[in-house]
Amino acid sequence: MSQTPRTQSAPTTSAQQPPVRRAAILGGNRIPFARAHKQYARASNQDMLTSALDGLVARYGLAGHRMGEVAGGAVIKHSRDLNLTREAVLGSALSPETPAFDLGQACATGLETTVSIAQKIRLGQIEAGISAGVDSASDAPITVSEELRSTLLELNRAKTVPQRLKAVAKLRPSDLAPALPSNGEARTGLTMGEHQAITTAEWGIGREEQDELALASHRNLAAAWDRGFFDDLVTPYLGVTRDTNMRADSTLESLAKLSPVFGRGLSAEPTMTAGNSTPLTDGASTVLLSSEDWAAAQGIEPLAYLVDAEAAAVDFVGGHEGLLMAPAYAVPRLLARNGLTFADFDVFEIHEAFASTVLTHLAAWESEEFCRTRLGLDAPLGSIDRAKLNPNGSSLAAGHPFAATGGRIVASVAKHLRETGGTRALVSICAAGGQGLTAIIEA
Amino acid sequence: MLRTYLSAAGASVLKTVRPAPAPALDRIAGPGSAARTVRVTAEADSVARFDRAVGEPVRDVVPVTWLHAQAFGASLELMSARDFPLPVVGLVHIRNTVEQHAPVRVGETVEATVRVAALRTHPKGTEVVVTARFDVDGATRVEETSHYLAKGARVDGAESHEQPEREPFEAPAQTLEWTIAPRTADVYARVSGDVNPIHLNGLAARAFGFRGRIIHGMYTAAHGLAAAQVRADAFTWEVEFATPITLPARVAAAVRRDGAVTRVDVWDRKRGKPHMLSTVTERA
Repeated sequence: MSQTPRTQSAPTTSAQQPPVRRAAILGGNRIPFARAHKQYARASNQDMLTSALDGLVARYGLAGHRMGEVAGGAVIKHSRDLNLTREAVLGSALSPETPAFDLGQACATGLETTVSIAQKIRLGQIEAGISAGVDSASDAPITVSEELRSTLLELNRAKTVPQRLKAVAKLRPSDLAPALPSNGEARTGLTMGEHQAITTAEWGIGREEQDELALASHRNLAAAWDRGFFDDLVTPYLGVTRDTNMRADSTLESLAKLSPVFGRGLSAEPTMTAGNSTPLTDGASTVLLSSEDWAAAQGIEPLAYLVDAEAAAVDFVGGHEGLLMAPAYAVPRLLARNGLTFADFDVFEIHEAFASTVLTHLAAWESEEFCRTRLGLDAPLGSIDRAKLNPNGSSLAAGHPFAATGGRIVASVAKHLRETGGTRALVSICAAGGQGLTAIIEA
Repeated sequence: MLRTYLSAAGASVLKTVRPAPAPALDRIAGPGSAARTVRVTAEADSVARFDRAVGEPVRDVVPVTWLHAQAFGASLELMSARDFPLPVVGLVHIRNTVEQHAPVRVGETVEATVRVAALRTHPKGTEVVVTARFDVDGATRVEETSHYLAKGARVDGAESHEQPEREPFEAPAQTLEWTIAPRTADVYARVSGDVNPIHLNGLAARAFGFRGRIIHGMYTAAHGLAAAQVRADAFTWEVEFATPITLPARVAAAVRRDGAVTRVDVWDRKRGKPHMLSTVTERA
């Protein structure tokens, strides 16, 4: 995608507008993803993020280097971690003069940090930056009940003894129980799995096709590990050398034995199991991005370029659309803006929140009715060749440490394009809050 | 308020033991009946506590459900007056309608005029209709009608009234799940002032024929109104209470928006029985 610099534009008070540059993806580094409450149970978000950063620094010789900026984030975050990414930078081998910021877009956080750093590079604001994401489901923040919290705050504001007594008198023993972060949607109270179960039933996605997708994810990921694909994308951490959720020996029979865990209250047959849903996972990922000049100066050959991105959101609260359906809306808008069709892509990385999430997106794009009534298209977007879908495995096998998933996908797919000589990849990630973020990556 | 409940309970016992002499109904209900007025300022703190308890955003607009709570004490007093022909304890809130012409804002002083508008027949007993008008500086902002049912009770001279047939409930697609803890009833009792023991004490609730503590119907309604996210200045809100929610509870709910009309239904997913059905119609 080329853009002509507007050197002769209308009079403006600012200096000449620089041309939009290409944002190169140079590589990435993550720690192996581990199932929650196992090997990383005692590591904090900051610990994991710092380790992932240091692995990247070591791989690309960035020690003491002042980067333009580091963008990171975590979905489940302690209130004390207001400057999580900056603190991780300070604890890393990067120059302490490297600025950093946190952002959040639920499970799209890791892709949004990458888009954000890429846009700064494209606009010439920075030469090189790192995008990152981390999440720990094990080292989760524990909060107190709303009643205890408001009472303690009232106590803090009280000036007299009677005021203090009055505040405390409202407490009940049950208020003292700690509260863990809930995976329920804030506005609906339904868990993400229950939301997806509704969508799965609406689209009539069967148990077997979900299990098949999960199986492919495990097999593809295991094959990628076996051939050394992740050797320069992952640095071992706390004795873990591979993603611990991966089951290379999974079979359709073993997956078929699992009992459904979501959608059991619906009238449709429940189909979503622990095998075709992602488990709670701990992990961190980083991506190194830069201008072409900076990459050349460092002697690093870019793997690919981040070309464009599109976010979408749906009204799931009003029940008008499924919680995780937003990418189905973002992708056609992204394709239209870039004048592309599915045929122009060599690889599709669709985040596997649940196997049925991917399958509903595929079904939606194949549906004449959905494409006409919901997307306003004359014809269906079309089918995606399954051989091009998540060729190195995705979240069902690798696990899904929420904010770390975007970085895992971007670095892997950029390397995959380079390895296979492919030209273009589509990345799609669904997120809580009825959101989705999608991006185009080109060799 | 607790005192009102206690004296009301006492009066109720007396009324069952020694029926009051046939009262002059037009003095108790209808346009000629004595009204009670309450003046209350919408203090930011009181409104914010209420907002947080029912799930409304804390903002300058006072929810109509806060207004209901301010007038509730007066309506309870009217219904527990000596010559009121029905026992107030055991009255069940079955329907509520609110007409908001313009919102009340934090800091404004509201004058609530509460009156028993009618006593009328109901297939299951006698229905008490209570109206409340909320004025600010002489202009009516909000009008409310609350319907209560005295099960099995008959009052001579009650207006005859036919109840509309309720359509059989068919559960819509669930969009929300509410977890309601017993603590929610404690908190709602505190912010609303409605300390009816059926909400706060399991023994008391069982004494009145419930399986255990039940959540305030107006909590469910207020939480539903919050979920509807109505932002229009003028609207009509109609609520029907079908069956009580025993605590603790996990109930299914759905918000369905269709143009100016938003429906919020709450039901028991296992039994498929409705708890609360409501509609908000926004007006330009």
